[in-house]
Amino acid sequence: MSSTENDGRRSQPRKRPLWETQFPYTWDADDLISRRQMLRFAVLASGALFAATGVLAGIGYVRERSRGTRQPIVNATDVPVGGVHYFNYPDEDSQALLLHLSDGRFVAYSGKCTHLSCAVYWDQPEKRLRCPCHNGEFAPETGDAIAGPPNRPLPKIVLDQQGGMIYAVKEDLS
Amino acid sequence: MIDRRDEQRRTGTNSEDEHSLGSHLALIMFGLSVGLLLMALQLWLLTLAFDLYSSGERLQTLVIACISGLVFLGGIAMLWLLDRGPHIGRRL
Repeated sequence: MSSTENDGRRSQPRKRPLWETQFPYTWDADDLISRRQMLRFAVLASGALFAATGVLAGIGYVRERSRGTRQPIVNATDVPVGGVHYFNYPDEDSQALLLHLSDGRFVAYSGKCTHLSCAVYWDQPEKRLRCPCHNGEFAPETGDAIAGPPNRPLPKIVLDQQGGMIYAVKEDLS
Repeated sequence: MIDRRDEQRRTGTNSEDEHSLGSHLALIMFGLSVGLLLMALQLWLLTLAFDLYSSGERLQTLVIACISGLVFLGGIAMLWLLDRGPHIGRRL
């Protein structure tokens, strides 16, 4: 073989295999692309997290934060001062409780603990609303969480009194 | 004897270049770490927003969403800046 033929072969550009173009050897192509791609991915993920938070904020403004329809609970004279009446509201599967406070007011709350949905009961001697599962406690006047793991207050049930009858109007979730 | 300048010219590197490259890489890694930390912060903000939403705290949920949005905008700005600037590569 003559030297001119060899030179001719050398001058032809080498055809690169597909894997070499997709996963290049050079640091220039390899390192920088992966870092930029990672940054793009991070920004994309950041956008998704922002979108999820934004949707939550939006739903908070758009969605109705109450449920239930007007229904009679009990006659006011049937609940003594400091006493409790358990009932189901807004549906048959949801327990709620009506308290007759020492100042004469009636208040009603959902009986579902805001921690893990255990049934809340009225501890009459201690004058506290208690959750037996994790010793959560709620203030009877406001429904605010005052002890234990729950952070959120009990959802309040709006009441209306006509004649002697107490009515549940709606459960206020806000 | 090989002249040092010739060697540098041949390989295309010198100590200043390497130093500058090292600082750039450190800066990039620092930026990526901060970005990941901010993403973790956003994830935490999302859980906080869930909690506030469940409590009915609309305004606070909106504030949390705004903070998350600022972090996202910061990421977009960073991406834009990086795409605008020169690409820095490692030379062998």
